Amino acid sequence: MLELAQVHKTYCGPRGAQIPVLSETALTLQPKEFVAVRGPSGCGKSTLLLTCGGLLTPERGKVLFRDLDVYAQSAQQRARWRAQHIGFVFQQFHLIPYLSVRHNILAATLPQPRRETQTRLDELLTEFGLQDRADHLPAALSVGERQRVGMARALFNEPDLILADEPTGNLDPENSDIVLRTLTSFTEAGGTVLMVTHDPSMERFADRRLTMEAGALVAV
Amino acid sequence: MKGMNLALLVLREIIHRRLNFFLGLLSVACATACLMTAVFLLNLYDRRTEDLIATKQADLVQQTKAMEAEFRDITTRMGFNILVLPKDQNLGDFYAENYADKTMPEAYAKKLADEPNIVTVRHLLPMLQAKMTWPEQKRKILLIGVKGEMPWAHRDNKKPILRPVEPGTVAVGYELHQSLALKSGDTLTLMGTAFTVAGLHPERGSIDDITLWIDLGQAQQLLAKPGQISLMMALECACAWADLPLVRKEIQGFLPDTQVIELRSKALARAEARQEATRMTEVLLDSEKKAQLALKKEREKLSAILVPLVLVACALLIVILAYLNVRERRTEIGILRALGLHTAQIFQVFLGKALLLGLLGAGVGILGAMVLAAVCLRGTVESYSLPDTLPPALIVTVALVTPLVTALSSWLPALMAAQQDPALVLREE
Repeated sequence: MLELAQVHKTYCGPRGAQIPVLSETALTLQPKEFVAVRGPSGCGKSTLLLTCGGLLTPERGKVLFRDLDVYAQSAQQRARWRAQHIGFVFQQFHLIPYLSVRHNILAATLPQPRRETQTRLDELLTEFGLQDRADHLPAALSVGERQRVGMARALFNEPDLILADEPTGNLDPENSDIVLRTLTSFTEAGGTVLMVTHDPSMERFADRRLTMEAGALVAV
Repeated sequence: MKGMNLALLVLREIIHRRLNFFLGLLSVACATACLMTAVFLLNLYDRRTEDLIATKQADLVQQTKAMEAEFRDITTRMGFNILVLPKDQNLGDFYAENYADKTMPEAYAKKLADEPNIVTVRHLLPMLQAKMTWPEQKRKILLIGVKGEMPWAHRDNKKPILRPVEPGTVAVGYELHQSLALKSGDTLTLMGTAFTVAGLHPERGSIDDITLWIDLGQAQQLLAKPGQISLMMALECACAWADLPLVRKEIQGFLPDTQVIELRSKALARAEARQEATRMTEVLLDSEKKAQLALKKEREKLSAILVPLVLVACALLIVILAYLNVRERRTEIGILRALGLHTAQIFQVFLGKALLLGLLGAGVGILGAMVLAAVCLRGTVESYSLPDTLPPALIVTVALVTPLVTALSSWLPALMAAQQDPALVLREE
């Protein structure tokens, strides 16, 4: 489904020093696959996810989605592609503070309005146990609820790939289980998950485990 | 249930960050109200000036009319201003002697009075003059034979301005009746003929004071000039000094053996003085207009400085507020981009907010200015309406232009938001 071919990305450090983050990185994700990438903070896990999601253009290499060269598209085409095929889940949840739970989930339809939003919304609110919290603002939610809202938003457009950046980093074990079980269900339904984490215990749900070492992915 | 769209996103954000929006709104409303109030005050000033000038002009017209009426009255009472003389009368002699020694047929007066095409002359008085020594008194006098006014054959006759002297009677000038101690009803003898004193003239300080007026026929008989007259006095009703060529042309057209001159009078001098006064009033009025115009230009100049300053300050504040808003929403922009919004949509979000700010700010500003104007108008003595001082076209223009100004002010911050690298923000977070 998604293939990273010899992707290279460096950041500019102090005094103009080039710091390689992705070094000729290669990765292939298959449908129904749950891949976990582990590594210490700052090793480039988030960079890997953003590159896979079409948000960070690599200096070299290609990102292919079903043979479509993601970065060969225009920014606008890439945004549309992202809205259709990619779902992001963040450690900090990244909910929009002034939108209610309902509208935060519906924010997934902002790029491309879709029909029957109500049915889909009701499904997700029920699935994540947020029916009573639909009109609450994020500030009124617990961290577990916030992450569930983030999950619901990522799943709203029924993407092919979920890119999860430390999705359980701020959660208690119970909520972490809910998130990971949701991601597992997603893969069982045909989706693909690429999750980065620094917590080895979270890898137990993954089909494949990788570690990031010096910008390259190594199978565990 | 309503779905999610960019407009709803903008509205929710405005409600969430009320202070930011309120400050922007206040700024736009103040700038709009300032502009509108400046226009209102200038228009109010214009209206007042126009009314003031109109009142002064109306007063001037009335004064001028009153002057003309007075002049007409004075002219009528004081004498004639047109003289018809025989063509062979030497004008040099006439001016030197103040007396016409040549004669012309009395029939000329009747011919003129019977002519239907004469329109400029209203009163016509034929007379025979003779400067002579009064044989019985051995003193110089002017003898004038008068007939009274010639009746007009083809139009209504005006009230006569000079009564005829009845045959056998005489009207006596001031100097004569004073020095001879004459009273009304006394008898005097002139060239062997006895006359009853019928009129004693008041002092005029002119040759009139040594003049005797008798009936024209008796004068012709005494002077042995039957059927002859020296001149015709004519009162011309349509300002003779202005239209003299027309009067002259008209009279000489029918009486080619005559000449027409203007006889200047005190009334004319006074009328001219009044004309000059009228002209001076017009000059003053013109000067008032110019002063008002200069004052208006000063006010416009002041407004031309103040209003743009307020507008620029407002635009700058909007730029700053929009920039702060973009900075505050960096993460949100990153999230929206991650959700699949492209740069143009992010741009729309920020520009939409600016347009809404402009629309609402213009509405509040216009409303504020209208209320202020209404309060001001209520406190004035004049009865100006609101549309007189705040034209609807201006309101529509301001309502349309203000959102464009706020959109332009927010353009750069909106562009910054759209160009922001989402990866940078998401990685930082």
